[in-house]
Amino acid sequence: MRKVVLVIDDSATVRGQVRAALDPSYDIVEACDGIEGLDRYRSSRVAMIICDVNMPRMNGLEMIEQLKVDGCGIPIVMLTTEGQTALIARAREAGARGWIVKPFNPDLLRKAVDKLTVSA
Amino acid sequence: MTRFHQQLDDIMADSLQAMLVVPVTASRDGGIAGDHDLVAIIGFAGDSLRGCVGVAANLQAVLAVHPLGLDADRRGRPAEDWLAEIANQVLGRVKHRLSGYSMEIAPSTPVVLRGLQIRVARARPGPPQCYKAATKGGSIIAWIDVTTPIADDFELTPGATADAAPGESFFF
Repeated sequence: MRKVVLVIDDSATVRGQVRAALDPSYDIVEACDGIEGLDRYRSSRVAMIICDVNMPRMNGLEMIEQLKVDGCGIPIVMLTTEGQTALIARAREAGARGWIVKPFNPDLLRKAVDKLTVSA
Repeated sequence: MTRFHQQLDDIMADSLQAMLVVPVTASRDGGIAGDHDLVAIIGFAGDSLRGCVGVAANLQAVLAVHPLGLDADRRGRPAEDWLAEIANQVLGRVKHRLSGYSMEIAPSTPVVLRGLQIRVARARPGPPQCYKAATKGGSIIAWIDVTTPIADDFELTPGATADAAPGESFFF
């Protein structure tokens, strides 16, 4: 059975790029902001989350902080144009396992997902 | 044009070139007021400056640089969405460069305007400095529009640290 990766980004194109990078090894569930991301996480059997930072309604950092409160233990990688040290530290504190500054290398992303989902 | 604005424009040109990986040329011929039907705008604000990055193009030009190909629209990944992401990632590169001068800005969420012929004017006086990226589907034009109290003789000077660069990754 293929593992499910939840991709949260307000850009449909970026979600499509991530889907293309991970096809056909993973099933992809998409969400366009933090609120929808929480809903998808709670209603799907998700093995890993790839999440943007700047999004409408609820941003990615707020979302993963909520996931930490909920006891979420799955790997989370942030995929964003942001590169501020303080934001990276905040994500790490909230349980993120990685931070990729866009644009991303599809091979690097796939290898990271392969490695992080081994024990998921 | 102040030295500060010139430096910002240079950063903008570099950022557009790096993002699209196609030839980019500077233009002062009013290229912002072209016959574009899509314009993506992303705002930003910091302690000492606020403004926006604009990216204008026609549908075919956007599709020509769309990472998912010319039929991306049909597959539910609209050209408008990619134009917004271009603006977002160009501003991300500008933000990274400014961080090297200890200037922090916070971006907004990008929006896209659609029309038959969108004409854009800048807030600051003087001829518009914009940059044309030549794609197989036509030109994509970008500019940065900044309002700042920074004095005319101000120049960006290198700071102590910079943010993580576009394309960098970290795993914990």
